[in-house]
Amino acid sequence: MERISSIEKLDTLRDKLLLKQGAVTRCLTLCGGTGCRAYGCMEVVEAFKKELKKRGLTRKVAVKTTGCHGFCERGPMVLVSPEGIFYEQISTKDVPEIVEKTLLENEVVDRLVYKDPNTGKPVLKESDIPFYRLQNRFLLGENLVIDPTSIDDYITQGGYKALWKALTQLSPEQIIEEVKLSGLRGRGGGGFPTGRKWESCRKAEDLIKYVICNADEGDPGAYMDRSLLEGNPHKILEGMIIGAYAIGAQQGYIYVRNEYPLAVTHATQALKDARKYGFLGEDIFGSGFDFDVKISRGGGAFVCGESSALMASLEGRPGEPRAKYVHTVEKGLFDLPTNLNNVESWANVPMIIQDGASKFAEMGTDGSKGTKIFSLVGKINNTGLVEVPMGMTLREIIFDIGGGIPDGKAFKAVQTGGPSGGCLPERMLDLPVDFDELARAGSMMGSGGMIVMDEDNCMVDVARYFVTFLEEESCGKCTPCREGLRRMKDILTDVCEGRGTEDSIEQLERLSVAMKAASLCELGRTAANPVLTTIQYFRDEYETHIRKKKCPAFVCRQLVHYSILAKKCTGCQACVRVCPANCISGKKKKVHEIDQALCIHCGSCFDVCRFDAVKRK
Amino acid sequence: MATQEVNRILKRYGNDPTDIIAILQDVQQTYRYLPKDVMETLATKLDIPLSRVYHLATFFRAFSLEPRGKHELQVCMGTACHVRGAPRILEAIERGLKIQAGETTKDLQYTLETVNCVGACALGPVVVVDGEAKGKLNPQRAERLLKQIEPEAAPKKTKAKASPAKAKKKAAAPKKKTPARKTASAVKKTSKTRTKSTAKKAVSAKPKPAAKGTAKKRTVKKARR
Repeated sequence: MERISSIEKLDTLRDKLLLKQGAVTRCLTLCGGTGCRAYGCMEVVEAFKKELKKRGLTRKVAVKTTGCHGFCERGPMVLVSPEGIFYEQISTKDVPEIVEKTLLENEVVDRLVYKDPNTGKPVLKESDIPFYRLQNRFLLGENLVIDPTSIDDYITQGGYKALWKALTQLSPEQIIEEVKLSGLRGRGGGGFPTGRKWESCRKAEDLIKYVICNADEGDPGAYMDRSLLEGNPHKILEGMIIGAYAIGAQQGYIYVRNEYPLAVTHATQALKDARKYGFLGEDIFGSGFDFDVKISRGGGAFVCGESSALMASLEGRPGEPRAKYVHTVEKGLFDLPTNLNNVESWANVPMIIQDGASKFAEMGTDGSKGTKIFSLVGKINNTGLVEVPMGMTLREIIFDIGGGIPDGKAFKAVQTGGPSGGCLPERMLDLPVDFDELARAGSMMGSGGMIVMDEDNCMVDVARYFVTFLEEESCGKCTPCREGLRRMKDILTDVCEGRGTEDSIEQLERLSVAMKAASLCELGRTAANPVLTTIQYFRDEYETHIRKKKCPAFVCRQLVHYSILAKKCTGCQACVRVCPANCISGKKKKVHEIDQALCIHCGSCFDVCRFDAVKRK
Repeated sequence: MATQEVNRILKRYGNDPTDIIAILQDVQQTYRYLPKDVMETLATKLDIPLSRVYHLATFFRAFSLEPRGKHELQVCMGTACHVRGAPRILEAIERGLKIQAGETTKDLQYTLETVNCVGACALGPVVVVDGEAKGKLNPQRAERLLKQIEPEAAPKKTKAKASPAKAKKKAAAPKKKTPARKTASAVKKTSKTRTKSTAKKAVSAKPKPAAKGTAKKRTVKKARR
């Protein structure tokens, strides 16, 4: 590979690659994200390659495995270009048919086409599917066309052009000004203006500075950072190099979760290729600017998503946060100025530099610009990654893009912002989603997890879930967080198990105040959000648990009782077979009975009974 | 030798003490846990206090101070999986393996863990078996999943099965074609007698595969007595 040291060389390379690409008339693009890999998409890829080879089509048809397309619900999927035909939930068995019919005879395989669940009408093209149509996929869009292991693919899409522009046409101050003008705010959760952060770091006087990409995506239910790093690692890298130049840093780190092996592999490959082309290393684009990046794998601690804890972990120390009266932009990694941004923030940078701040600032609301990727998960029809402009309402995201709640159940709440966020009820659905609006509602943007819950979910149990999660993940350094969470968990467990008292809610509220005021880092300071929002919006559920000793959603086990209705029981023995406690007695074709003393309230009998003979109350 | 392996890992990171977490990760991957002597070696070679190595080893989830099983089951407890019933999946697996989350079966076959989101939320509830995500589970399917991995789990050299009751039954059942219905005591007796007979074989000749592992273990103890 030749070093790309000028824009002419970059342009020549791109033209050459485009010409080469033009020779291949058709392309089959398969999503190779972690979700689709779990469905077995890699076997489908192999099957396609084999089938094409068998029919001698390898030269005419390319098979490309890309990063996550976002529509995880329908994987494995294939996109046939240039027609744009979209086939969903395919398996290796469908491969010969797709090749035969679509590639050779130009026909559509009807049974594999996406069907609108509401109207039942088939939707042939990917771009017409409501899930995709209503989005604004500035960042995720490239995931559909780029093979993440190929730097050439990124270059054909105009990659590293922004880097050239930044390094040779703009001064560091101009770049910072552009980022400030764009209104980009940190996508990791806090929403701090990125440009201002860069400016403070640039102003720090030390000669050695660092930039860090925070890919320690710990929020349960959020996976947009992983999909970006897996699907388009060069975009993040390009953003980091531009940022490093603006700030004056020489060394960068990508701190990625160890649970994301594919992201580690793709990022490592990207670094290697970027070094070969000279986008990393010495004298990048002949500008005299030197920079390199190292990958560091996390050890599986949620608190390491916090900047000072992450830096401690990078230094080889346990990931415990410190008080931040001196900001990390002044004294961060190894006590030197360090600028840390989230994956999605970095990914936005090349676009801002290339197209200008004003174009970016056109999207979004007054306080929050650009797009945001959400991971729409839980009780939702179209599980997946959704990229929308800031300011879209929750209702549009959940019902228009997400397709609503499965099985005709009723919507109950949506949890945003991970363990530090809150649960919002139905009446808040028309809330426009941006940093400030969510904060006003008692929740937060967080990294963009959006977990939808239906009538079968108990809000007290959800609060307990988050508190238990945070109690486990609290590093234990400061008392309010360590002890406060433990007490909160005890109280919530009491409520869930029928031991709650009239004081329980007030105790929780008082604990929250103390934790908010006195915790060392954001983990402790925001830990009470899930509890406070559930109390605020679902107080009646808490009261039912405490006063009536009942769980309206039948989730809190100790408060649910199962019994068999003699009138409906046919004596089929299905429940007898599944009962793990062996507490259901009854012979075939005789009415069964549950021994209440032995019952562990697991609900297995309720699940298997086809005659509605198991009653729960 | 163990030290050779450790030296190789240390060399990979240029003996840099700031890379201690990455080094520990590689050690964990190699041995499936962090052996005490290895941690001591690391502390000496990297010139960092042993207390800090222990602090790291106990701080991060990725590390284990006890050997992990051959098969690792990670039940995703992320929010999306939680609202779709992950706690019940975990319970079903705990019942099936007869261990709690965070434990390893005595025969070092299975380690059961919980993880906070593997990012395969569309497939929830998810269990990751040896790095492969298995999705859309319910308690019944989770139990079936355990049965699917069981046969692979018993390669020739393995020791006792997870459930001693099963091993006994297997040891008791074949060859003599004992009548199907027997009282519990009778079954016990046959199993004992068989244990003895296999015991002699085991001492005199090569060990035999499969369920006889339990028998072999006992015989060794007896022989020592």
